[in-house]
Amino acid sequence: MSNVFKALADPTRRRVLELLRDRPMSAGELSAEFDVSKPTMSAHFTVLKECNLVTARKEGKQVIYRIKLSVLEDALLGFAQTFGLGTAETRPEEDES
Amino acid sequence: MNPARPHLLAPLTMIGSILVLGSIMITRKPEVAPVFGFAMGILPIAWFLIEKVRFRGELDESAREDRMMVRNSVAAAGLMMAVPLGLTVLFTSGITAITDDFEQRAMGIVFGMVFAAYGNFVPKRPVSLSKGECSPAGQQAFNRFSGLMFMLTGLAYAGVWIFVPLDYALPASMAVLLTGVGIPMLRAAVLFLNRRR
Repeated sequence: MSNVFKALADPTRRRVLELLRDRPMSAGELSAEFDVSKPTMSAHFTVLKECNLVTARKEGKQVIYRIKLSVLEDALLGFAQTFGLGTAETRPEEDES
Repeated sequence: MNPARPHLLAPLTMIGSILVLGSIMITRKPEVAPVFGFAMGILPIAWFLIEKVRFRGELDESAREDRMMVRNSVAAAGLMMAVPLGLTVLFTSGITAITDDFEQRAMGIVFGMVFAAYGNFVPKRPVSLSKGECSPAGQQAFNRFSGLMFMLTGLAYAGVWIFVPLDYALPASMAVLLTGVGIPMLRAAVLFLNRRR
């Protein structure tokens, strides 16, 4: 559970989850929504996958991400977004320390 | 973590509890030993068959997810068997505060909490990406709605068995359950009918 808190503390990852709430999206579509490098986005995706908040599946040449939030995790996401938890964006490498 | 051994502690703990409690009851009431023996054996046998037959040799991500769900279900079923067994053991040990009414309320609360826990994890099931009759976005939205409804229903069910007088608790809990399950079914029917137009 503490990993889920850490994952939701980053606004970029929260925004990724909000986008995936609407529909599954490819890695390229998600990266286009953010002004960060692809390796950085890839690291964010890895954090989300390790916390079991998203699932990735290869469809041809694309990787499609789907959201996997339980009801409580969804509520936690809304809470974190409402109160702006962790407004300073962290680099994914810092979360591993 | 070994991908073939997720989430073993909870179901093993529940089955262990059932075996211990069932053994105690068999020694205290040997005339109903077959009933307790059946209760002790059915869950581990069913689990063993599912693990060995259904999931034999499957180690991919999707099989791992399904294994987790089966093991969580075994743990939940074990809890719902262990609670009345445990209360019966306590009653036959001389704790007369464990009345039939108390046991009925306890079972209602446990069922409600299990239902709420199940509802919590409904949206975790991944939606199909294939272009079927319902879009993945629609499936996601419906899973979220259903999960929330089931979770609230489970909590309301448990609340009924905590607070409502016993004479009215059973019909009230059934009304809560039917409403909580009926609303997602109604929404599914509306979505299906709208899709056909």
